[in-house]
Parts: sequence; C-alpha cells; structure tokens
Amino acid sequence: MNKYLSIWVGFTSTVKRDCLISKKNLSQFLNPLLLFILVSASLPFAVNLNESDLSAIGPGIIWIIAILSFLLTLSNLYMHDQDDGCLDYMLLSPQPLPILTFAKTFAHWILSGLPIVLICPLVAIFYQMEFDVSLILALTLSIGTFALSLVGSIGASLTLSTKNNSILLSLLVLPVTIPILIFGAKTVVLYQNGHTSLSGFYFIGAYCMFALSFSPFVSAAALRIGSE
Amino acid sequence: MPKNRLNINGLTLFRGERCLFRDLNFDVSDGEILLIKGKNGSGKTSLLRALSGLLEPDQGQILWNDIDIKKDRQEYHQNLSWLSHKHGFKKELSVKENLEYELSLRSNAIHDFDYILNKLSLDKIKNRPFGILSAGQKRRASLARMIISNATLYLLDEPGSNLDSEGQEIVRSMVIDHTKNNGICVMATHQDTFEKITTNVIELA
Repeated sequence: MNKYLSIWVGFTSTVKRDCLISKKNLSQFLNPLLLFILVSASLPFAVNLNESDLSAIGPGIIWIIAILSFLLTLSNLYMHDQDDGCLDYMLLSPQPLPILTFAKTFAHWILSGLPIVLICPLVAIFYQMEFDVSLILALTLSIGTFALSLVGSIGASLTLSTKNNSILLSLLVLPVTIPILIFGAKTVVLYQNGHTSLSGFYFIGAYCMFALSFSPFVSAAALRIGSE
Repeated sequence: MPKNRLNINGLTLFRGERCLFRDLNFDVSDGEILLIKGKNGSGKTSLLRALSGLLEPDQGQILWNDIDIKKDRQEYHQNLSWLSHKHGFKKELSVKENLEYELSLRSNAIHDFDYILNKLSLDKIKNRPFGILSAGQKRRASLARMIISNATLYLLDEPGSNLDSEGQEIVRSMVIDHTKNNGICVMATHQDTFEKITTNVIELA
C-alpha cells in the first residue's frame, strides 16, 4: 500500500474507532453537552435583564460555558488509552505517532466540540440573539473549539502520567484559552453591532493554524516521554 | 533474502536509583527464540519494553538489521508485534472491531483473519464486546492480534498468563510456527512450557 494512503487509512480508522467508542458509550460525550445546554439555557432565567442587554452579554456567556464544559472532556483524551494499554500499542504502531495523536484530537473535537457548535444556535434563542448572529457565534465556536482541542491535546499528554490530573490540566490549558475566548466573543459582538468581524476571524483562524502546526508533534513527544 | 537480526549492545537500564541490568549484550536472529528469565522485579518487562522502544535505555544501543531503532521507529514497529500484561483493546468494541482497527494501521497485516479466530476459538465470540470476555478469551484475542500483525519480531511478556493448558499449547505452537517461518521471538515467562522450545536463555539477576 502507498505510504501516504496507509497514513490516511490510519488517520481515518482512528477517528472512526473513537467515534464508534463514543457511540457505544454515550454518557462520555453527552454529559459535557448536557452541562452546556442546561447552564447556558437556564442562565437567562436567573438574571433579570432586558432583551438588548441579554443579547449583548449572550456571546460572552455562551463562549465561557462552552470552554468550561469543553475542558471537562480533555482529561479523557488519552486517559482511557493509558488505562487499557492502547497507548502502548499506539506508541508501537507503524503509523507516525503525530498522525495518530492528531486523529484522536480531531475525533475529540467531533465528539465534544461539534455538538456544542451545532446546538449553540438553539441556545442563542434564550439570549434573544438574531439568527445570523447565532450563526457567526457557531462559526467562531467551531474554529475556537478545534483550537482548544489541539491545545488541550498537549495539556492532556503532558499531564497523563500525573494522578488526578484534571485540575492540573485545567490550570495548564485555561490561560491559553483566554485569547480565544476574548477574540471569539468579541468577533460576535462586533458583528452584532454592525462592525466588520473579519479581524476576529483572522485571529482565531491564525491561532488555530498555529496550534495545528505543532500540537500533534508536541503531544506525540509528550506521550512518548510519559510512557517511560 | 536478507537475514533479520536484533542486536543488543551494552544495554544499561536504571529504574530510579536501582540498576536493573548493566552492559547487556546479545543477538537474536531469524528462527531463534530467546527466553528472558528472572525473579519478580528483576527487570524482564523493562527489558522487553526497552527492546520495543517504549523505554529509553540509559546506555547502549538496540539495532534492528544494523540500524538503531531510534533512527527508524516506523520501520522497526512495522516488524514488531508486542504482547504485554495490558491487552490494548477497547472494551466497548467487539473483538472483530478491535482487530480491524489494528489491521488498518499495518500495511503488511493479514486481511483474512477468520481462520485465525477459528484457530484460537474466538470465531463464536468475535462480535461480543471485548469488555465482557473472560481473562483467557482476552488473552486469546491479544494472540490473534499478534498473528494478524504478520510481524517478524514477537516480544512476548508472560504469553501464557490467564490461559488454560489448551491455550498455552496454542501459544507454544504459534511461536514454533513463527520461528520456522524465519520469525524471531523474545519472551519473558516463568512457565516451563516455553523453556523447552527456546534456543537461548538470558537470566536477569
């Protein structure tokens, strides 16, 4: 088999396998999604704000809840693989390790980030946001959560060998998510106020590409070192 | 056809302050079965992990066909099949789904594996989730993965554990068949069943 075709097959089959596991173990990815829906949908009822104020704070609130519920899923990225020994087999695979770590990160985004992106236009209704604004919000979240998966992969691989790593992982990842949060929410607010929002997209796009350029390699190196 | 050879030069490994082995030298070639013996905690598993590339030795070199395994990991891992205490299967997926995933990662794997499942008495349980299988059945599934990988070098850590006498006999014949076909096998085990078929023995203190 052609080398590149073999790498592509390795990538797609890893993504498919992780998706299949989640299909058979629904709670793993439904819990953070439910948390996102429940918190973001109930918050407008708890605060006494008028329509325009609610739609003004909506993007920021939804972004914060999305990031926090997303952070909950990060510690699972490699932990189950370590527990059942799959990590050793991943390290001993003839496939390039960065490709496998990227496949796992991509599967993580499909299972944890994409559902948030898809559900956010519905959640935006609770914040009296216009439909086009909610689509811009979904677009920023799709790029932003993918960048978070990439950055989170590094954090998850670095903290894998430490016990009860969830807190350490959050402390590591949360600071680097702040620029994404600021620009993601600001982009939606700019669009909402009739300004051009392209600069925001450029920033989160560049952040995502920057994370993509090194995350698979750093994660692979951290997993290899951690396995010793 | 070139001969495959695993060449170990001056291997030294520490775990913390403790030296597991120092300046270890040995070669294993086509058709050979090397048995690593030693008490619990003597470093058998660590040596196997070092041979696989999972563990970085403190000193020394591991050469596969005269090339340092660190220089071309992918080529080495294409030729390597690993059996350890942990199964490395996903409990949510069936035996078949787990094996199909392994198959997709290896370009030289055996694609028609039904006869292998049959040989290991896994054909009737291949669609059951891996998590509900018995310890022995899980071990058999790991053995199926080894055969399917179609690798030259087998690294086996306690290959007979959790297996009944029939299962152990299957492993024994599997190892013999593999080395007859110019395969190489390095194993660490306490069981006498395998000692009779080995060509070389290393005893760790």
